[in-house]
Amino acid sequence: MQELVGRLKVLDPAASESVKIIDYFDSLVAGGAGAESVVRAAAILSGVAAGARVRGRILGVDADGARITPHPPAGSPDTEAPLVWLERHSGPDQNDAMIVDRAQVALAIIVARADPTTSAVERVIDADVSRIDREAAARRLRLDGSVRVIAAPPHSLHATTASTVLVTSEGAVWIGLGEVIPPDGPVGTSIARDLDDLPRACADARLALRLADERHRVVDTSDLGVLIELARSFDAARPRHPDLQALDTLDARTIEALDVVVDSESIRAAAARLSLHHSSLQARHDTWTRQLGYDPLTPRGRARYLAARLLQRLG
Amino acid sequence: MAVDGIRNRPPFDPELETMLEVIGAMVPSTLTAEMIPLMRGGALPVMPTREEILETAQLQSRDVTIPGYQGAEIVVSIIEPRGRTGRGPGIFHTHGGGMIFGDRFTAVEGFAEWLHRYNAVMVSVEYRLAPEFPDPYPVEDCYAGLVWTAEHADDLGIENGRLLIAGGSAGGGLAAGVALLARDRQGPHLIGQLLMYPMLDDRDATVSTHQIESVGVWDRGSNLLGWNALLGDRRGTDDVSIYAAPARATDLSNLPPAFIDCGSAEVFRDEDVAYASAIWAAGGHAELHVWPGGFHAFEGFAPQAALSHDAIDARDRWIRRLLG
Repeated sequence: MQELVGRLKVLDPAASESVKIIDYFDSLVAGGAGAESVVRAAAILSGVAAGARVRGRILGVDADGARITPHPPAGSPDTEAPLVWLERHSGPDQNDAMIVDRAQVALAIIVARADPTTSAVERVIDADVSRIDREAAARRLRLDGSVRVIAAPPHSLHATTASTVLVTSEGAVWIGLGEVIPPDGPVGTSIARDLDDLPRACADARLALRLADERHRVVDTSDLGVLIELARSFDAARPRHPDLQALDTLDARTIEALDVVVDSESIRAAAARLSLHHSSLQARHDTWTRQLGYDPLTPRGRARYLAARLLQRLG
Repeated sequence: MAVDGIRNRPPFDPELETMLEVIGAMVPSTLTAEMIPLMRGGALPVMPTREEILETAQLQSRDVTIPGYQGAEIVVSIIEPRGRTGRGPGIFHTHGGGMIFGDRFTAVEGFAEWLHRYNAVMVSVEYRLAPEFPDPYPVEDCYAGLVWTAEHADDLGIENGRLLIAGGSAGGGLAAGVALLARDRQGPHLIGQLLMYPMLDDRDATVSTHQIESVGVWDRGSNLLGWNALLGDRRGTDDVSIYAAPARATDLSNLPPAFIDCGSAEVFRDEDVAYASAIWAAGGHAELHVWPGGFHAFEGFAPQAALSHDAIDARDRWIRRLLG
């Protein structure tokens, strides 16, 4: 089997179609890799030496994976956030910016995990942890009464607060406690009444995050009302409902128009928002009814459409 | 990520797991008989040629035709630093490739540094492959190559008595088999056997082989393909020699000092660990490394990973103690 080794070692992982840079760092994070592995990944993927400053410690790895002692670039920002740089001297390659960005995100997650506050956050949102441990963690976090749970994509720019990053089946998710809504969205949020309600609020906030889109950057479960029950019931493993299959066949522009129409007071209002004459919208209305298998402009049809769209966003 | 074939497999090292995706896109975990011609079908376009490998490593090579098993002609390559003069240790190399593919230049570049450092010479043997040439052709061709090398030690610039045998994967199994043959036939003296993740056991009965199914590199199915090609209907029966499947040897005394390594997440783990244990039980000398989360031949496939650096360093330290 060794015979293959020579074939593959000359392949540049970065050149391989099968390697997505984001997946590469995500799987390192999911696998519990350390900071040096992230720097090594940056070096391998870029093909040049990579350096990092993590909590005041300097790490460096060359393109062959060997440790080196790099020098931080002059004028690098003096922040707490992990800093990654590539030692490319021939002008940046097209993937460099993304590699540096994802490496910094990965390091931020690894650093956050090592923070004792992080483990306290992980304990209070985990229903499987004993009540005593969760109470102790809540005291450490000075939680008392209701608290807002925020779910957002992991990002090094989030305010440092009581937070952690969970590795979930949908990728890494940043979880924060308190009124610390990240400015850059998307965000899902839910309020926990008390300590016992925190795991529920965390799960709902994660669901709400998955419902966020360009038009709804921040989704608060209190605005969803009973619809959160529908979202909770979603199970990707179950056969897809025909209403969802019907939506899956539509192109993005049709979906966008339908979203506007069902969200409008009337056909006329929708036509105005879409800059269409209401008669041409009427023609589309017939097509949509045929495509969906129901009329999306009746009250019941609107409900079906909105419910199906909500579930479609979940997976 | 590859789909796991079995629960409770040791997890892959996180760095290696990311690289496993690249490897998986090139080679399936399970190789089948139909793939043998393709695997033998020569280098991919991106591969360095034999000449480029030698050029990069500053090595020279010449071929010699020698008598193999039953006197048939086989080829060995004599590979040494460019312009080498004087003497040094000799490394007899049996290449890997599951007994069914690979050639005598497979993984040669991994020896370049040692050849330069010790003014050493390497003899790499083109043994005949299964299934066209089943057991005992491969191991007997290799043994014939070792005998030839020892007989020509003087011409090859090998210092008196400083000959070791080295091989990876199937080549590790062949190296172990050749060392057993050399012992039992009072053949050439070896100062060491470097067995890199060796393929030793045809019986398909370890925990590790059942843990590595449709996952990683060289899984259980690939391993059965290799052994079936080598042994045919004899695989798993009492009719298999200890030279074909060294794991079957019950007496591992009086062997040269062994270096054995493997990954914790590969088919060969248990048979490699057992082989080291059996050498110790027989009062022998063995060094064993089981690299946590390593798949088969990980240090070759993913040489940049931290674990790969450590695995290569461990071999280098053994060679330093042996050849100093």
